Amino acid sequence: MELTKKIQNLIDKIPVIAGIVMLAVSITFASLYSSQETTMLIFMMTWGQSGMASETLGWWFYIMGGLIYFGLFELLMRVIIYFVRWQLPMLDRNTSYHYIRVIFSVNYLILGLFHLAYFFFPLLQVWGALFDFLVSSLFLYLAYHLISRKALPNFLWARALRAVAMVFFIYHGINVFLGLFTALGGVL
Amino acid sequence: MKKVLMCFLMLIIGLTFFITPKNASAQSDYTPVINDTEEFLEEFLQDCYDRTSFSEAEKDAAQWIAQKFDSFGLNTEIQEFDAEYNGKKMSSQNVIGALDFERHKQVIICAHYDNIYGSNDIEGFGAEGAYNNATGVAVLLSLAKHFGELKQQDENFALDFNIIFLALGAEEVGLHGSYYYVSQMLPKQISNTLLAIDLDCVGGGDYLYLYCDELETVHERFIKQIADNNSLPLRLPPVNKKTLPASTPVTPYIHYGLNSANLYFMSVGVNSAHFFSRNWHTNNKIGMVESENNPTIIYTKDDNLKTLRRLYGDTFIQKMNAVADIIFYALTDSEFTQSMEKSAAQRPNYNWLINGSLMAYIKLGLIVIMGIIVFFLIRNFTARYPVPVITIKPTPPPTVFGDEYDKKDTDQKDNNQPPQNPFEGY
Repeated sequence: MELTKKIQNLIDKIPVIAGIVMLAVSITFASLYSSQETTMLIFMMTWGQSGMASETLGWWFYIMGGLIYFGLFELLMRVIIYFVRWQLPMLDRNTSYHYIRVIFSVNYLILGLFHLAYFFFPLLQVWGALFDFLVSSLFLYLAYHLISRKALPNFLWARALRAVAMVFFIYHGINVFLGLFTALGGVL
Repeated sequence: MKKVLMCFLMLIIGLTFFITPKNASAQSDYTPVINDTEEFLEEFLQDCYDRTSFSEAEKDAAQWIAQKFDSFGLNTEIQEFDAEYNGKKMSSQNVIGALDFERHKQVIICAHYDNIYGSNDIEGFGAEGAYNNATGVAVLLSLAKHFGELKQQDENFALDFNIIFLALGAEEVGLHGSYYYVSQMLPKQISNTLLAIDLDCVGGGDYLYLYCDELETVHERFIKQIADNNSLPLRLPPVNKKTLPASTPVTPYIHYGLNSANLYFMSVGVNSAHFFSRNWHTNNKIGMVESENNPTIIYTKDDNLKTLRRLYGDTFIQKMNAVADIIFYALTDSEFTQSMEKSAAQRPNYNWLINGSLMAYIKLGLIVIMGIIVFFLIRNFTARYPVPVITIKPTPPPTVFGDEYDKKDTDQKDNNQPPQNPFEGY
């Protein structure tokens, strides 16, 4: 509990704007490789198709995807907090947003350092996805732990964990089953 | 003193106007061993400018190539196959020319000969395909002619392996020719194939590249060494290869090195070497970059000999000759067979690394474990911090008149006590 309080005090000291910037930068950093890939794919599906002259884009195609992912993260975060607040209406939205941004900026910093290896060894991406899943799950639990201790009476921690877990297991469970279904050619 | 220094400075500046650095891509001092690629290119484009995949014109082009193989003394065969395209069953053919030294081992040299000129049902762009891939066919024919002549003219000339010259059909519309050829190879043939060389767009573009595998291999080092020893410019892929998120049979992404016939040879474990010319190093352009400074001509009406000459001068001919020479030197090197066998023995097997279903099973297992942990956590929290039972005091009686009004003051005294905090202790 002492460590929890120390981390909470540290997060409380960080201004909200700083939290937003930290998250944007760390997501962009973690997305350098996939941003390059995704931007190329979108570009080639639109203007840069085979047979047409390629345009000069420059270095920014390494960060475009990251900024879009940041927007998607913000949207997803708000949707999840909205559903969690169905079970826990007393949960403060702004505190939750701020804590999630700061905690996940550390998460994406760790992932970004790992993703740098993809530039030299792209094959690692397949197992890199598993590493991302494990680290992000850990930080999701950390976010639940810190927010619930900050914003909820302790007899509601179990309910908060159940609400977050529902979102996590439904999303990843469907994801994995679809992946297995596809990999096994439709026969599970 | 000042005058001397000024004169010296002027001399240095003056010399810089006369001393021009050598263009790295122009090998003006190099005399190629195989130098008839240009003639084959001109002849092929003149006789077979329309080679649209699955068309009668493609069949005619196959016959043309087969006649050439025959004239070089190769054992020629046309391998017909069917493939599905846009929901229709279509027909095409590969042309196989074998230079037989009665060996068990073999080397395959392939190039696709079809284009998307557009004279059939398939929509095309009027592209003659000079760059893509008449240049590759020209190199293939030059090598076939050169090795055929060596065998015919010199009784003592023999290699440790047979050479299969393979012209692939229907590649532009989904790599059908290479897929069919590899699918028909017997396991013994696969294990006896020392190297599969793929020539795809080897003229034009900024730089000549060699792609062998995702990780460095013995045969890649061998071929690069051959090029360096003969001062032939050959680049290896950049370290940070730019990739696209589209999977292939061997990788979960695709890039220039994997979008050709070499892919199917790699998928069955054959050493492969894919030669192509593009610009893979630029960071200023994305998409299919042929050249930093010249426009893209692949899949356009500008993919013809006239445009190639206008944009690239004679550098595209030099690239074609360079590829032919590199392959010739490599195959005739005394250490070739040993290097290829060593490479095959040391070939990295990373199937486990790209096995998506294995990863999905592991992820499923982890989710189950996490579910169990969360279940016990919830049970633990619920047991340790039960929901408090809140007792609510009865509400005071309603204000009435009459006898009960006399008890009003007593009731109010009881109500002056502050209410107990129902959450106290939690």
